[in-house]
Parts: sequence; C-alpha cells; structure tokens
Amino acid sequence: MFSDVNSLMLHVNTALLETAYMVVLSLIISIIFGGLLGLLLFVTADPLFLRNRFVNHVMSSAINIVRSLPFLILMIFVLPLSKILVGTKIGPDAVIVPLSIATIAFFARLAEVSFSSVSHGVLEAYVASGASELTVIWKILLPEAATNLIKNVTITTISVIGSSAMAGLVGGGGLGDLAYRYGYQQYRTDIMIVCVVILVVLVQLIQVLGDSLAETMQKQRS
Amino acid sequence: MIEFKNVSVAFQQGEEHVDAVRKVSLSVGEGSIYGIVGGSGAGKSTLLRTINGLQPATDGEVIVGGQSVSSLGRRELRTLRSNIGMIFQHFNLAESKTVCQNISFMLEAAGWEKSKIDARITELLEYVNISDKRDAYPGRLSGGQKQRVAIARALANHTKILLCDEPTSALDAETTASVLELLKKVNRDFGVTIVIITHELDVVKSICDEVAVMNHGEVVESGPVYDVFTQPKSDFTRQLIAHTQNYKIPEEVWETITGKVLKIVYQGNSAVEPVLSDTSSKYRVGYNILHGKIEYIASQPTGVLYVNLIGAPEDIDAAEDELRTRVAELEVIHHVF
Repeated sequence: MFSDVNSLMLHVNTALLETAYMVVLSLIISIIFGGLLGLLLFVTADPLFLRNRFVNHVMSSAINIVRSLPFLILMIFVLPLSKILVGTKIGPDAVIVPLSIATIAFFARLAEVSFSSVSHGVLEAYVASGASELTVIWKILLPEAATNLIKNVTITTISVIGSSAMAGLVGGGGLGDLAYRYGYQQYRTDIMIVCVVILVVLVQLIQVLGDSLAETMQKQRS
Repeated sequence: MIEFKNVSVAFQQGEEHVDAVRKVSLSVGEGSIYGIVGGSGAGKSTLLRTINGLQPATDGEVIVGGQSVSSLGRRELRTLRSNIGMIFQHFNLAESKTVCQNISFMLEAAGWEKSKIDARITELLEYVNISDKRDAYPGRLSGGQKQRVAIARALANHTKILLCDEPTSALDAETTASVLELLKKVNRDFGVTIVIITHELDVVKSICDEVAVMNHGEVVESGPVYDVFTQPKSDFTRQLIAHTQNYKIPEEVWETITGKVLKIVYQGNSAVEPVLSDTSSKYRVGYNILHGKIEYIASQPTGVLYVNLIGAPEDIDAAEDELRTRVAELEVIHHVF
C-alpha cells in the first residue's frame, strides 16, 4: 500500500492532524462546559454559595449516566445527534460531538474536585467580606483552584487522546484509526510502531508540559 | 452594638438534628471587647457567624447596629458584611494572592476608588507592622505574620466590628501575646467592637471586658470578666476555671510538711494588702508559700496561694481565723502536727 517512506509519512501526518483537530476542539469545548458544570456542582453543594440539593442531584445524575457508558457505546449512541449538530455521521467532525459529551462529564467531575480542594475557610473569609458570590468565585475560587485545575486538564487531555483513537470505527480518522486499519487489519507492523511511538511521545510531552506549568505556578507562591 | 435576642440555631447534619445554639440572649456594647468561651462543640463558632449572617439564626433575632440580620435582603446583608471584619484560627488568606492583593480584594469589593486603594494598603500594613511583606505570598509568612495580614484585611474597609474565631489557637505563646496586644490596640485606636471566641481562658483574661461562657449551645453565664472569673455562678464555669487553678504539690514535698497548709483565694484588695506578713508577725507563726499564682484580670488582682503555716498549734489556729476574715476564700487542705 505504501510504496515508500514518503507516502507513509504523509499518512501519518494526516492522521496526526486529524487527531490534533479532534482532541483540541473537544478539549476546548469540554474545558468550557465541563468546567462550568463542575463549578455549578460545587456551588450548588456549598452553603456559602447557592446550595440547591435538587439542582445538584440532577446534574450529578446526568454526569453519572454519561460516565457509565463506555466511550465506544456512547459514540454510536450519540452519532444521530452529530448529524443534527454538525450535519454528518462520519469523520472527525462527527466524532467531536460524542467526544465532547464524554469529556465534559469527565472534566466536570475533576473540576468539581479541584474546586472542593480549595480551603473552605478562605472562601468563607471572602464571602464574609461582603463581596458578591460571583466576585468570590471569579477572583478567589478560580485562582486558588488554578494549579489543581491545570493538573486535571492534563489528565483530561490524555484521556481525550485515548478516546479519540476509537474514532476510527466511525471513519473518524486519526492515529488510532491508522493503527487499527493499516497496522492491525493489514499487518503493517511498521505503521503500528510509528503510531504507538507518536502516541507515547505525545502523551509524555503533554504530561511534562502540564506538570511543569503547575509546578511553576506553585513555586511562585512559596 | 450587637444584640442577641433568644437566638437559636438548629441544623441537620446528615441524619442528626443538631441544636448548635439554644436561646442565647446577650448584648455586646459598642467599643467593648467581648469574649465567648467554651469547649469545642459548644456552639461558639455558630453563634459568632450569626452576627454577619454566615449562619442564619433559626429562631430569635440578632441585631447589629440597629438592624435585624435575618430581615436583610441579599444586598443589604452584603453591605452589613462589608462593615464587619473577621479573622480566623487558620488565617484564611488566599494562597494565590500576595499580601497586597489579599487586602486590595476587600477594598475593591467595597467599591473603593482605585486611586485610594494603594495608600490605604500602605497605611494598614504600617499599622500592623508588616510593611516589608507587601508583595510576599502567604506561603512565605509565619503564623503571626499571617494573622497580622488577616487583621489588616479585616480592618481594610474601616470596619466597626471585628469578629475573631479562635484567633490565637494556632499560635505559640509569644505570638499570641503580640496578636492580642494588636487587637487591644485596634480596639483603643479605632473604637472597633471586638467579639472573640476562644477556648483559651487566658485570652479572655488578658483582653476582654465582658465574657459569656457557653456549654452545649447555651450561655451558662455572662458578665464582666473579673466577676465571672472570681465569682463564677455556674458549675460549668467553676470547673472551667478550676482547670487553670489546679496546683499540684508533689508527694515528696507533702511528706516533709508539718503544721497546716491553707489554700487561700485572693481577690481585689486582699491580693495587694500584706495579709500574710501581718498575721505572721501578729501571731508569731512562720509561713512558707508552697505554690500558687497571683494574676490580673481586667487590671484587678486575683489568685490562689498554697501556704504552709508553721508554729505552735494555737497560734496557727488564731492566724487561720484572722486570715479567714481577710481573704476571699480559705480552705485547710493539710494538717499535721
């Protein structure tokens, strides 16, 4: 199939771009909406802010439902929605919809943990100052949770890369697709190895980047 | 300034119904330093938080500066809060902000003009004597320094009331003394009304004018600090005070003692009069102080001394009778001839 190294590199290049496209876009969507959902989970559980057991319970259950489905099942289940939202049931664009849904639920939980790890006393001190809840959330809660949030964004990014590999099953493309179709189904060990190496390097890079960013932030304060 | 009228706070903790505060009525005068003491779980913290509405009272009324806290809307409650400072056992400074940023948040939230904020922060940091830490992060400060920053933060908006939640419980003795000194100064210089909750009786003795003793959500006793500590009315207060006045004389010492050992409680004038030397020379008895302490509560002396009287038995009895008339309390606790 690949007559030479150049053609192989071309395929890998395309796959890498497809993966990057799916991952970056779903990640941005998930950080915004998942972060917001995590924040809502936190503030509806805390009497200092807007404790509302009902709203909290509804959101929590919805997240649990999404999180109970393996990504493969969720993807197939949600694809009709992709048709409505992005007009297609195949390709990277279609995969971004289920990928974002799964990742929003995943990141919402991690964000909730990040917010909960902020000292309750510090939040109380600033709510006691008479500042509005929104101001305390924006100017105290978010900066205090920032280091923890960065660590959780790192975890989420790596998880999205993993899930995006399954996109191949619905013609979504990407590195996982390349490894599966050529590396596995057509016994092209060389392609398999190239894909594995790229994924390993990618994940390592992201982890190192995330860690050092969090560490720099932490160092500045101590 | 602050008045509690029959205040109760109850809440549900899991399956359990908790009566954290029960029917508390107290009045805190403007410009006073009011202590609330009690063990952990006595409801002190909960009661303190009803003043700025962090904990709503479930029954009764908390009146602050003429306004009933529970009747305030969200906006009015925020205005009230911006006029009440609060400090905590664990300081509660935002770790992601410098000292300066921690304080400027308060001023921005209270709607200060940007141009005035900087000067106010300089003034505050000078007042609490920590100007050199302006751009440091809290992680680099000691406990005492953090509490000073927290006090500056609490006072930033020219607050008239300062609520202190165990402000010295995480500090060593020396730092505790300096923080208490600073709180006293704040009270004197700005007329700030201070409500301080603590489990340390020494804190109350050294800076409070009045005190309320809490146990199981109820105020068992309240009044001027000197009166409560020298003439406790409730058993609970008596026990609380006894803990700080238990002087143990070692067995080895008891074995060598002859004559009478008296436990003498001094209060007011008897503590400064030469009671012991008077009786000693009058009845020709020797005295030996075995243990004890005289301390000053609200600048008035009080204390307990264990005194060994030595001499002829009839002289000792006569000296004891005289002493009994001149001190607040006298008890014979050892008698060997």
